[in-house]
Amino acid sequence: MISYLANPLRFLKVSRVLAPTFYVLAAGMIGYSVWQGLYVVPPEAVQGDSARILFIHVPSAWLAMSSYVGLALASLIWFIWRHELADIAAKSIAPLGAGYTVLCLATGSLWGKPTWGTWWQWDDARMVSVLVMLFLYLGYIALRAALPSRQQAARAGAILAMVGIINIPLIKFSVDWFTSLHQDASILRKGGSAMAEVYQTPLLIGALGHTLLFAALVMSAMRAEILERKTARMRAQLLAGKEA
Amino acid sequence: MGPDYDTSAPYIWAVYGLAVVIIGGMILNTAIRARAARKAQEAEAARRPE
Repeated sequence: MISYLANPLRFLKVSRVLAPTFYVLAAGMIGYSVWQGLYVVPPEAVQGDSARILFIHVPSAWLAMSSYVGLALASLIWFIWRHELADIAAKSIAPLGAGYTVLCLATGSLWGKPTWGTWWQWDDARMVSVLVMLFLYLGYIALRAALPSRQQAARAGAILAMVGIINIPLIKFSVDWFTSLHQDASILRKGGSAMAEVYQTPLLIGALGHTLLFAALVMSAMRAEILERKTARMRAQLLAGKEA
Repeated sequence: MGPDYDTSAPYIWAVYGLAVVIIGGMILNTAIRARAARKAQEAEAARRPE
C-alpha cells in the first residue's frame, strides 16, 4: 500500500486533480467561516466580540499540531522504508506547518490581550509548548538547509522530527496537567462539546477548509520539489555526459 | 462600513489581517516555487541533446 502511494509518477497524476479541487473547496469553506465569524455569529456571552478570533485561531492551532504529526509520520516512513516521496512530503510540510504555528501564536496573543489582559505568559505550559513546536519546525528547516547532502539532511531531519513528536501530547494535555490561562478543550472533551452550535458549525467548516488548503499547499510544494530533484538529476546526467 | 464590534475590534481586525498576510504569503510562495520549478525543468529538457 505504502509502495503504491510512494510512486512519484502516480503522486503527480493524482495530485494534479486533487490539489486544484482542494483549493476550490477550501476557498468556499474558509470564506463561509470568515463571513460567519465577522458578520453573522452574535457576540459570545462571556468573551464578547473577541470570540470572533476563534475562527482563525482554532483552525491554525489544529493545523500547527496536526501538520507536525504529519511531519513526524512522513519522517518515520522515510526512516523505515526510505521512500523518497516521504522525505519530499516531510520537507514540504515543515515550512507550511511553521507558518500556521506563527499564525496560531500571533492570533493567540491577540486574543489573550482583550481576554486575559496579557499578550504572553512565560509560565503557561500551552503557550510555551506551542512556541517549542515553532522552534522544532524552524530547527528542522535550518538543519536540512545546513547539511550538504540530501541523504544526510533527510536522516538528521527525520530524527529531529520524530524526537519532537513528544511535544504534541504535552501541547494537547497541557491545559489539563498544568495550571494554565488557556481555556480547557471546548469541542473534543469528555461529555461532548461545550460550544454553542452557532459557533461550532462554522468553526468546524473553517477548520476543514484550512485542512484542505494545507493539503493542497503540501501537494503543490511536493510537486515543485519532485520537479526540482528531477531537474537536478537531468543536470548531473548532462554534466557527466560532457565529462565522459 | 464594517460591523460594530466592542472594544476588541482592533484585535479582531489584526487577527484577520494577519491571517490574510500569512496564509496569502504561503499560497504565493508555493505558487512562485511551483512555477519556477516547472520553468527550470522545461529549460533543462530543452538543453538536452536529441
